[in-house]
Amino acid sequence: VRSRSVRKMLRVLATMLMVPATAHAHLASTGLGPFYDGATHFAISPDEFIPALALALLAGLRGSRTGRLALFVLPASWFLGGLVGLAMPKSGQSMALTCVSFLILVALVALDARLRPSAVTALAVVLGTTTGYVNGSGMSEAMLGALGLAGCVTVLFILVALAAALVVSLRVPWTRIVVRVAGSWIAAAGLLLLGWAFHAEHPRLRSEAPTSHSQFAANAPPESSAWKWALQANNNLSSDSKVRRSYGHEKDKLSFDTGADNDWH
Amino acid sequence: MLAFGGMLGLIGVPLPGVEIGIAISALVLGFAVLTEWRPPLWVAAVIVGAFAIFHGHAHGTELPAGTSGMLYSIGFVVATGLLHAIGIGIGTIHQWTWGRLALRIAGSAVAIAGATFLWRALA
Repeated sequence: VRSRSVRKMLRVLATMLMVPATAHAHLASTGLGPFYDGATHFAISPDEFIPALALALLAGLRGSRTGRLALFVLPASWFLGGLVGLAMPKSGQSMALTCVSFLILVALVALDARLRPSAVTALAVVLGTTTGYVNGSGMSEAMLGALGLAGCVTVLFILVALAAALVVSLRVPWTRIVVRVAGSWIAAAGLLLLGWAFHAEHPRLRSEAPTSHSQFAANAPPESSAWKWALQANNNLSSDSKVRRSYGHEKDKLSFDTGADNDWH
Repeated sequence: MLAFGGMLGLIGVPLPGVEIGIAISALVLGFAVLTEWRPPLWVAAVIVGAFAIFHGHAHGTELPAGTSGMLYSIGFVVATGLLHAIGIGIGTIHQWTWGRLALRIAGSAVAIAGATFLWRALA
C-alpha cells in the first residue's frame, strides 16, 4: 500500500480488530473508582458514543481547523452539560434525542456537507450539552459525581482526537468515500432505531401475540432510560433477586435475574 | 432504503405483497445478472431501492421479541453492507471469461430461486 494515510487507516483498523473485547461488552463496576467507571461508560452506551463519533468524522472531513475546534468544544460542552445534569438531574433519556442526533449528523457525514467550522462547532455545542446533560443525570443517580463525568469526557476527548485526526489524514479520494459510507451506515442504523423506539412504545402494533418475554420487553423503555425503569422494577422484585445498584448495569442484572436474557444488550 | 423498509416494518406500517416483492426482486436481479443488463444509474437505483423496501420490511416485522434495538440495528446495517461488499468482490471476476460465465450461471440460479419463491408466494 503506497499511501501513508491508507497505511495509517489500516493500522488503526487492525488495532481495533485486535482489541480483545467481548461482543456483549457488559462492563461491571471496574472497582477502580468513579473515574474509571465513567471512562468505561461509552463501552456500554453506543447510543451516546455513535453520535459523538459521527461528529468527529464530520469535523475531520472538514479539515484540521474544524477538527481541532470539535476536539475541544465537544468534550467541553459535554462536561458543562454533564455538570448541569449532576446538579439538576432528570431521569430517563428521550429516544428521540438519540435518533435525531444520529440522523442529522450522519446525514451530514454521508453527504460530505461543506459546513463552515462555526456550524460544525455549533453542532458540537448542541450535541455536547444535550447528551452531556443526559449523561450527567445518569451519573448523578449512580452517585459517580464529577469524577465519573471527567472520566467519560477524557475518553470522549481521546476518541474524537483519534477519529477526527484519522479522517483529516486521509488524502486518497476513495478513503473519504469510505468515511461517507460509514456515515450512511450509521444513518441507516438511526432509522432502524427510530422504528425500534416507536415499536417499543406501541407494542400492540406487533404482529405476533405478546408472550411474557415480549411483554416484558415491550413495557420497558428503550436503551438508556432502561436503567431507571430497572431501578423502579427492582422494588417489585423479591429480596433475593434484587438488582444491585451499580451505574449502567441495572439493566443487565435485571435481565439476568428475571430470565429476560436479551433485553437491552 | 433497506433500513427505511425496516423502520416501516418496526412501526407497523402494512406493506402488501412483501413475499411477492422479495421473490420478484430475486427474479429481476437474477435475470439482470444473467443478461448482463446495464441500465442507467438512476434506473438501477430506483429498482434496487424499491426492492430493498420489501426486504427491509420483512426484517422489521420479524424482529425477535426482547431483542436490543441498538444492536439489532447495527447488526442489520453492518451485515447488509458486508453482503454488498462480498457481492462487489465476487463481481470482480467479471474481468475473466470464465468469471463472466460463472456470474451468468449464478444470475440464472438466483432468477430460478426467485421464480420458485414467486410460485410459492402466489400458490
